[in-house]
Amino acid sequence: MELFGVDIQALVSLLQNPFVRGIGGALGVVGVISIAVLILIWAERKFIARLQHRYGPNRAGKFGILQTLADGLKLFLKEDITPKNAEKITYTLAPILCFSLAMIPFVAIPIDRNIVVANLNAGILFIIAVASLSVIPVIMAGWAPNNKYNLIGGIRSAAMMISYEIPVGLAVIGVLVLSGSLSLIDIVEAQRRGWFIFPQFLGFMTFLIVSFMESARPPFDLPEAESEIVQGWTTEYSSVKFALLMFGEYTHAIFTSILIAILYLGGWLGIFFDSPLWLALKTLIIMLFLMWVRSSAVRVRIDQMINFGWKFLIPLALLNIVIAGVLRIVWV
Amino acid sequence: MLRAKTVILEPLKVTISHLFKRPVTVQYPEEKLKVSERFRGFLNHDPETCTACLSCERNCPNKCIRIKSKKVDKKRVIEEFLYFAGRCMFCGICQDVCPTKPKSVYLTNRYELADTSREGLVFDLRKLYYSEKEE
Amino acid sequence: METVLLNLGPQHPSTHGVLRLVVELEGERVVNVEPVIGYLHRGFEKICENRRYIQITPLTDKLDYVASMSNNMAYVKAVEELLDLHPPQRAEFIRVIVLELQRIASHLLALGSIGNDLGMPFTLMMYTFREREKILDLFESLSGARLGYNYITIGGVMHDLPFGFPDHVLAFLKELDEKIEEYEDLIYENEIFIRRTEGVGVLKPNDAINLGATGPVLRGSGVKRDVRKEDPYSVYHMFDWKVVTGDKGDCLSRISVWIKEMKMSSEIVKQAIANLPAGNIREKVSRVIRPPEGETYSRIESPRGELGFHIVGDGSTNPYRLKIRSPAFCNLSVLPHIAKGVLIADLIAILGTLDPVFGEVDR
Repeated sequence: MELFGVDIQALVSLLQNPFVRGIGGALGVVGVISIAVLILIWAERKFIARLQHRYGPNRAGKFGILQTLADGLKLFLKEDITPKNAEKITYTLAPILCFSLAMIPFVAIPIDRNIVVANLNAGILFIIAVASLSVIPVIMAGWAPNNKYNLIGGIRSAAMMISYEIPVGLAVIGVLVLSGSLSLIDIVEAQRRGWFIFPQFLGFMTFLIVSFMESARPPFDLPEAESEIVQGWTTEYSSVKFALLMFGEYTHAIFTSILIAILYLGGWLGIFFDSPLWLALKTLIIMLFLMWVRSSAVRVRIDQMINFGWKFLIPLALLNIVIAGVLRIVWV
Repeated sequence: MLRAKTVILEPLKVTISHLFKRPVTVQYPEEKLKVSERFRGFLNHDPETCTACLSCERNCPNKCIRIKSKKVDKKRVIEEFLYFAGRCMFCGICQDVCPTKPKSVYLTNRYELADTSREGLVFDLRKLYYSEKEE
Repeated sequence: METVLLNLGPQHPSTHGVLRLVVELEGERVVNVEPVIGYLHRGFEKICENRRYIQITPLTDKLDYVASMSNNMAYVKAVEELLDLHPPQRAEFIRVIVLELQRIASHLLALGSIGNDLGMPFTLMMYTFREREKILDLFESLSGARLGYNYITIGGVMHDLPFGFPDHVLAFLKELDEKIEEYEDLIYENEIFIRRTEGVGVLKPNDAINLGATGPVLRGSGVKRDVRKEDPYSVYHMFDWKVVTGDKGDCLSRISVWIKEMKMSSEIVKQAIANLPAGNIREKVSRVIRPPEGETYSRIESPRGELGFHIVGDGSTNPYRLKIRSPAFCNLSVLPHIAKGVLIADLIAILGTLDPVFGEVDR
């Protein structure tokens, strides 16, 4: 059959080609996340400004909407400097990896019962594994520019990552015990009787604290401690590379918020109807909470944070698993 | 340790309460704050009441005033009153030591004084006074 | 273990000005820290040798630019001692009101800056600067400028209080009491803040006295020393107030000293306004001031500590020598002693509580 010179049969079979669907899905993820990050940066600046009793950007476009675009354009037009003794390959590779690795977990996150780019049976395992990979670009960015500030930031980030990976895994195990499956779609469907935040409150708290650590936001923004080590692990980066690093950071923040919304807040399940808009709303609420705490809390010290991660969060998460097991036997 | 959870709630309450108050920012240049009447801004000079005692020139810490005077009918009058606004720190000493009543050297409330060159910040206040009188 | 030299250079987001700290690190632990100062040196004392006494007063504003009234007062007090001049009572009361309000303003700035240093970006600073703006507006209606006042002069004060000033001040102080409670909520009820500052940078009382620290740094270690009580000047002996101290000598004690001092200053101002006498505000002084030969050292309690001026006069219109004992300089010399063995994050917190202002340190 021919329509406008295009063979319809060939087009349909092309669209059902898994390779094409994969690439299309990946490009879609990149596009959607990019727009989301731009809007998010604007929302953060305005919200935090209001909490600090001031306006926030309101000159670039009405309500400052074009401010992020203006900042991005400014970054693109800056000079790209490479320090003299830096390791050139690692220096260039780190921002690229940061940007791309942060987006990979999104292909496995479902927005609705049938809308997901890659429907994996062990979705949550894939997501946690790839999220752990995201510390590699940070360490690369810390080592490459041959600068002590970068190094301190990178090492702090590595220490932080080791401290939070275990609590994250344990908290997720609690959810898995209650849902009985590793697939994210099944986890959300299992919350039809009640969101997991109620039986798993301790796990929710643990995951919330860990989300601060994972996206390096205050009060756990040690790698980037602006008042101590200038810009932390992103110090010697300028122009496009810096923009990519910042992008990766915010993508992380969105990622952890969506994960909390799916694992504990019922994903796309709503009051009268299910829809991806509920997921977006829940993600937004978690993000607003992250911004709220950002403006009210001082930074923790590195040794206090490591103590906290190992001596408090791990016992809490283990207790959570016990509670989950008991509930599974008694309640389900 | 569990106390930590409840104790961060107070600061969170304080910050969220500010979300519902009107921000304190003044949107300059659309809104401008009113300055007080004693505000120490740009200098102004009244050559008619001036006795050319040269106190202001001698007592300025940064040497921003340069006066040329001459004798006309047994009275000293000002011929040229150069004011280097770029050097001035608006301390008000010239206003303080001026002996005449009302003061012939006084600071006004003009504070928007930017210019694109250093030469543009040198003013001859006697000329300005007479040119404004003509208008 | 091998040590690494880290240079917290002159341009840094949180060294309160231009300070260079050469830090020797072992991992994240500080082994030794050496402050390098002088980036803001302007040759102040040399300039003053070529200026008349009345011309030096606005220059002293630029020393500790955060608390200009205190600098004015210290200098003017020294010159008045040389000239054996006594300003009228009303002028002394106005001076006390203005100095205590300046102390409140300076401590508000210090409180805002410590919030920045510890990692709470701008939140605490916006709140404290909101109150500081009100004090600056009061000072603007009084003297005409917001930061370099040139208000306290030889012989008294420059202008009388404008109409309605005491009422404005009392209204402001009432608001301040509520806001101080808000700051205490943000600080003392914040578990992470307390953990960052408690037990950090402990300065023992004997060390503090031997190293020459004064002001909140000394009082935070529990030593009850205040120039206003030991060597009373102006009319401080007429008011009912106490010296505030902290108990442990760590960062949290110093921050609590700031907050308690703000409350105490508020008390003093209320008493001063209640008892304000009428009268002259400026003693008549000759046009050109020529003090007789002699020297004097006079000191006051500025918000940072003991600020002293040593003036040597030789009978001419300019001083022969003018030496400034700046409190921030002596407080900063305490840093290498109390910062051994702490982490980098603590170093920044300690530096914040020492409250240096580099106009004063470098002159």
